[in-house]
Parts: sequence; C-alpha cells; structure tokens
Amino acid sequence: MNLRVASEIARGRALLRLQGELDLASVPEAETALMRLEHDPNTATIVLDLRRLAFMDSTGLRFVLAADARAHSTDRRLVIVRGPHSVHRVFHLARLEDRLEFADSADAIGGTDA
Amino acid sequence: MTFVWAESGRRYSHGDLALAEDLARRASVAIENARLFQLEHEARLRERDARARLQVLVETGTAMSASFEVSGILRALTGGASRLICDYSIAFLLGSDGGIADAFGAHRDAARYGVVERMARAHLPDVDSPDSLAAQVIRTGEPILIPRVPPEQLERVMAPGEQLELARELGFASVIVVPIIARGRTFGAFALVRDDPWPPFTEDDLSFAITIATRAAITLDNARLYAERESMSETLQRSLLPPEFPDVPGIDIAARYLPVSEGGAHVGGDFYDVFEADPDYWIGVIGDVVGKGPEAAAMMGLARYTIRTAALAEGRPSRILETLNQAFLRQTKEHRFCTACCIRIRRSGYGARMTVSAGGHPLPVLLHEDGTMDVVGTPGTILGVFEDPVLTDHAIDLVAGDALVLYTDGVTDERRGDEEFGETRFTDVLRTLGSGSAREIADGLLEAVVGFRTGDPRDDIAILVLKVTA
Repeated sequence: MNLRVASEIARGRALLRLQGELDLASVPEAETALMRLEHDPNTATIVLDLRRLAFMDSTGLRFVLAADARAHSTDRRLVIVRGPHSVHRVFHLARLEDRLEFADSADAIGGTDA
Repeated sequence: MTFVWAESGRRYSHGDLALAEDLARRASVAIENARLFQLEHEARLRERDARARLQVLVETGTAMSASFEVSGILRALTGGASRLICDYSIAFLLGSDGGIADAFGAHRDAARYGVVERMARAHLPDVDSPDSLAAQVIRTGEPILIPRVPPEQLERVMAPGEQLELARELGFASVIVVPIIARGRTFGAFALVRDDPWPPFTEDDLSFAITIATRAAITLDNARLYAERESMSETLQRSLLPPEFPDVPGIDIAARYLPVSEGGAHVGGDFYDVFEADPDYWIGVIGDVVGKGPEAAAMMGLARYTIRTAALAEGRPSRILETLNQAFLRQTKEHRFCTACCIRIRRSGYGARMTVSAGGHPLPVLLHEDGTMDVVGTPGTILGVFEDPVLTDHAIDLVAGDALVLYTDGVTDERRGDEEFGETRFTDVLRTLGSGSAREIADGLLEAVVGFRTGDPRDDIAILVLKVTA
C-alpha cells in the first residue's frame, strides 16, 4: 500500500492528509479514515489535503466525488487543497474545477465559517 | 447372586442370608456405578470425538475454500479426512467427458501419501465398471459402507498387479465410498479406508464422510461458477470490442487494447468503437468506465450501445455524450461514472473534418506528419455524475498525413516506480511517430508505455488512431 493517511480535527474542521498514491488499492483506506472524521457531528468543514499526493486515478476521483456528495447531504463544506499537476489534471479533465471547492493551502480555510 | 459352599458341610443360616443380601446390594451399587462411569466415559469420548470431527470439518472447509483449483480442493478433502477418521482416503475426479479423470490421495501417515496416490492412479476405474465401488457410487449417487471387506472383494475391486499389491500393503479392511455431489452436479467419488487394528466404519462415520464430501462438492461448484463468470466477463468484454472497423474511405484506423489482468482473467473498464452512423459520417469513441470486474463490463456495454443508439438520432458528439450522461445517471449506482471522447468523422474535399467532444476524458491529439501536434478541444464534465454537464464540440480539418490519436488515462498513468509516464513522455513518443501508419502509431505508443513500466500494469490501456491517407 503506497498511501499514507493522516487526519486531525480542530476548531470544527476535519483535515484528511493523503500522501502517496490514491488508486483502486488504496481508496478503501482513505475512505475508512474519512468516514471516521465524518462521524464527528461537530465538523462543519472537511478538508482533503492532496498536496503530497503523487498519483490519483479515476477510483480516487470517485472517492472525492462521493465525499463531496456526502458533505452536501450533511450540510458540510468540502474543500480540496490542490495537489500537484498530475493529480490536479484529473479534476481539470473531468471539468470539476467549477463544481468542487479548491484551495491552495489548508491554513487559508476557516474552520467555523461553513 | 448365588453363594455356594464348596468344601465344608456347613448350612446357610438366616444371618448368612442377610449378609448375602447386603453384599448383593453393595455389589449392585458398585456395578451400577461402574456402568454409569462407563456410559459417562463413552459419552465424553463421543463428545470429544464429535468436537474433533467438527474441528476437522471446519478446518477442511476453510482449506478447501482457500483454493480455486480442483486439485487443491480435493487434496484438502483427502488430507482432512485422513487426519481423523481413516487410514487413508482417495478422491476420484470426473472429467469433462464423464469418465474418471484423476485421483488424489492422502494418508494418516504423511510419508505414505505417495503410495496412496500411486495405488489409485495405477488404474483409474472405468465409470461403467460393475466392480469398482467409486464407479458404482458415481453412477447411482448412493453411498456405500462395507464394515468388513471380504478378501475376494478386494481382488475384484482392485486391478491386478501394482494396484492390488499396493492396496494389500496399505490395507483395506473397512471402506466407505460417498459421492462428491452438490446442486445436482456430481464431481466424483470419495473413498475412505481403514485397516486393522481400527474398528470397522460405522453409520456415524458414513454421515461424517457424506458431510465432508458435500462440503467439497459445494466448494468445487463455487470454483466452477467463479471460473465460468470470469470467462463470461472476458467473453462479454471481447464482444464489446469491435472485431473489425468499418471501411472509411481515405482513413486508416487502428486500435490497441491492453486490459489489466489479475489472477487470470480480469476485466477492466476501457472501451472503444468506430461505426457508420449515417451515409455521410462515422462515429468514433473511446472511453473508460470507473471500476473493474463484471459490473464494469456491464457498464461498458451500456456505454457502447447507448452511443450507438444515440448516434442514430443525433450526429453532434456533445449531444451523444449528453445522452450517455443521462443513461449513466439513470441506470448506474451512485458515482459509477465514465469518461469518453466522441468524434464525428466526415469526408471532405481536402481530407476529413472531425468534430471532437470529451466528457472527463483526456483530450485527443492531432498529430501531423512532421511530428508536430495539437491537443484538440476543451475538457468536458465527467459523465454520469451531474444533471447539467458542460460538453462542447470542437471541429478540426485534417489533411492527408494528419492523424487523430485518442487514448485512455492508462497510457499517461503508467508508472516506473514513483515516476509517471506522463504527458511529456507521451508527447515525446508521438513526435517520433508522425510519419507512421495508424497501426505504427498505435504500436509505437503502446510499446513505449509497456517498455516504460516496471511493475504490474495498473490500468487498462486503450489507443485509437485515425489517420487520413488521402
């Protein structure tokens, strides 16, 4: 497994940091970690930090889309911290830049303004 | 209880009678106690035996389930039985022609496994043989229990020579043969043998043999269904790929497809197609359904036939992809999306006009004969997720020597360690292929990608090239 997952919850903001490769083999691991964060009812914002992600395929994209749909249905905000070019290209080709919320850094995202 | 004075002439008195009665009472209590103790002991042995049998059944079941190979399942069966209720056992396997095709054996003494199998394989019985117990069980489906095998029967059952000699060496005092049958399908017969000094087989042993053999049959049947499903999805996948492209005047078409394979047959999600939609134009498409396996194959079928049907009513690639988007929204599970690039091909006075629309898919590349190239179109929304995808059409004019190269992300995603094949290598390789035929371009690209990677392929790779020749 070439994915490392780190998570933290602070000031109503849940942060999931993904490092390595997000693909068919590693998506379940990311999914488990994210669902654990979603379980906390006090998190108004969920941040997916993809800056250290080296690779993402269509199953990774599916994971992000599902997370976004769940966030919407629970009145949460999902913010994606943009990954490197090869990762962001997947969002670009899927024309999702206008449909998902992207940020350049996790620190810039407020925790309580959801 | 009777007392006899043997030597003296003494007569019994009333006191003697009372004593005798007391002794008899005590003895009967002692006998009763002993009987109860014996019963309890036997019950405890039976219970221990039952627990051991259950344990072996569970372990054998687990071992069998771990294998998808017939030989692995039958070895787990014979090994399990021979650990507990017999000296040795043999599983006879029916072949596809209905005859007994093979035999697998195991012995309580691991050192004698080979002898059992040599004995069984020395002469595989004819399924019509009146003497063979295995053949009889396979024919009738009825189990056989012979507590004591008469010596003359052994000579009838075994083929003379090596088999009979080895059988005598192994011993053949008591035998059970049960069918390996489940869901109305007979896979073979299972024989269990005990030799002296073991007591003969009982009805209890027979039920255990039936249980364990049925368990093996279910596992074999599951393995068969699994293999059938795998080969079915492979067949389905092949049927989804066009066997040959239509003849498009002045355009040379080639495609390459390399599916991911994991543990034998495995279906990925890439698809492509080129077909005549109208006397005036042809439609080409390449796409990728997220996910793997039979469900992805079904989604590919949905995609391909939706596109073919939509193209009859609507020639604009963006509209065809919108129809595909709707089909995926309505007919698939949440977030089961696909990406596709659709092109309409029309002949023109100077070559061909191609109209390109992409939904979540890598944009195609227009490769000129001199190796220069342009990316065609703008990214469109991924298909099957949103009600209002943004999909655009982009028309380009190709002259003789120009080629449109369509591909799936398996090409650029291919990796060597942490390094990705990527867009730069993709462009570098294409630059050297400008003067090639459609087939040479597709082959050159595929070879470069496959040559680049070091590990196992991670995704399907599909490449579709359309080159204007005149």
